[in-house]
Amino acid sequence: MSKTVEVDVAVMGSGVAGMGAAYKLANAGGLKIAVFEKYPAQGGAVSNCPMCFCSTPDTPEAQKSAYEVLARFSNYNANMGLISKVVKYSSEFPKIFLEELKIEAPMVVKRDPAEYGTQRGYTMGHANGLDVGDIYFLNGRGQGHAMALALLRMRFALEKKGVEFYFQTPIKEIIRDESGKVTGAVAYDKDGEKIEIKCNALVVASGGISADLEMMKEEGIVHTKFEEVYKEGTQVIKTFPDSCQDGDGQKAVWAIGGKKAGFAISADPEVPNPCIRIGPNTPWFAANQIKIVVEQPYLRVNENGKRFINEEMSNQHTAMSAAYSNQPNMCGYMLMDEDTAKALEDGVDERYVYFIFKGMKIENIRAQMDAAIAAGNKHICHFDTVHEVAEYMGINETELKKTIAKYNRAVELGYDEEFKTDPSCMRAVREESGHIYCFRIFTGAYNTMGGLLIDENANIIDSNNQPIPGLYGAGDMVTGSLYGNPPVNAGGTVFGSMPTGLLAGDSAAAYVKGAC
Amino acid sequence: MRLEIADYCIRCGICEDLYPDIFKRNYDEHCIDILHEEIPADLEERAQKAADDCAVAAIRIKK
Repeated sequence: MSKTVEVDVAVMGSGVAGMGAAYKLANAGGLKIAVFEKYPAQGGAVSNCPMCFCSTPDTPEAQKSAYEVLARFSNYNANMGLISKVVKYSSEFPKIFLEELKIEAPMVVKRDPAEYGTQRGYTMGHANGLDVGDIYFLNGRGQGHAMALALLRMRFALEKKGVEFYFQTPIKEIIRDESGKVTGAVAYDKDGEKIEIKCNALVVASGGISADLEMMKEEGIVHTKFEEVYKEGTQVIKTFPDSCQDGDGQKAVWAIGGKKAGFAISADPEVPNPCIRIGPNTPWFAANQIKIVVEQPYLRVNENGKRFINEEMSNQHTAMSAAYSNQPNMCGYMLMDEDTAKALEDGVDERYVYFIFKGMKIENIRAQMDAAIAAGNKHICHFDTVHEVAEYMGINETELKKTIAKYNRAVELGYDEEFKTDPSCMRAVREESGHIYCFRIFTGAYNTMGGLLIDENANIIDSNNQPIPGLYGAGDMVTGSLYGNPPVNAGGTVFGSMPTGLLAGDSAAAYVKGAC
Repeated sequence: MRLEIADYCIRCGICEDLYPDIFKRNYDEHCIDILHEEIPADLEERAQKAADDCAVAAIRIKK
């Protein structure tokens, strides 16, 4: 016999988007709310990535500048009304996280609104498009991520307000009545028992599809002979490897007529694990430093041995991820020689490291690589000659040698005719130095983005761009409406995901209370 | 000393990364396995540190 849960609003997913929706719904007062989460605990992907968030201050100058940056970033392919609201909701982050959830922000980088969108490289670890406000760097508990703690506290706060949480209970089906309104959903608990949910509105915020390689291939975001790096989270997909992010939200919405949107892998270029980086995403652990090295702006080529981007973009995750995705087998290669390896022992290029690595010295990178190679990593190597490197990595040797010769000439001249790279970022690759190092880099991911689209009220739209009554969407899965469809590899992040949750919560509360 | 893990543990695996002699992520069961029913005396200090390092204070010490 199936169980029935009757609520005013059901929320699918307890990541930063679903929690944002539940937060607003609980604050609306008088509503019965239940959150259904397929994972055994709260927090979603964001619990395992950011140590920071970007928040646009609620001033006319800041709001206008952020709006314009995001609208341009999307090529006006986003929902511009939504952008405006997202930017506004982001101004609530300091109140929510710092004041209410008591998360410490020991460092806040105040940005001049006139300069939004101009910062290259790390802003909040992601794209120029997210350089749209002040950046708050957060303290987590112990060695953990601040957002993990924030969302745990959010869960406890919501439970105190009467919000019910159902874990290991994925929603698989959405019910619409004859008039088209959403009236319920079907979930299954961990024993497979069916739960009939009766609700007047549903917020879908179940994240990405990174746990389903076949679906990623079908959607065209994975196409490589190295597809094992996208399996099971142990290599490139590096948030919760058992995250269960299998696209059930997208599939349930498509099944009732929701518009299907494109997908992208969110950005963070990576040399695949194992043995590159400890943990799912904990760069502050004293671990293998290869991740730091491959963010330095050294020569990049593709499998055909050709350059494809100005390497000064190497710490700009959106740019690099997009570029790698467009190369043969969706990967690129970084090359450096022994002189550069020695220079790393004196210190990294500070413009090209995350703030916690300022002043970092990379001592004995060769031994670190050897340890990873011995543990089975096939995506890094070092040899005496370019020939051996090309052979081992499967790079076109003839073209690679031509490329290196041309690149080295550009270094000598101090002018990169091909890609206009800043000369201060260029380092010659010379066999005479004694040794050549090479790293295979892929578009990494915290998750995927996309699949569904929403309007300016976070209402999920159907194939005719009409809102589906009672159905709201938030988070990574609707970033196409914020960044453009398909979403560029910008990374969902707190900025990209939570405001749509807050908006969905407010909109759903107004809808069920009959205000719209 | 014994350890237990609260149900709100997010299974991030930081405990295993730092203290693989005490914890192991169980991907099939979506949980963290504690490798010792009774924490050996020589690991007690590390177990305490693990509890302090946990992102969400999910590792609890039962004395």
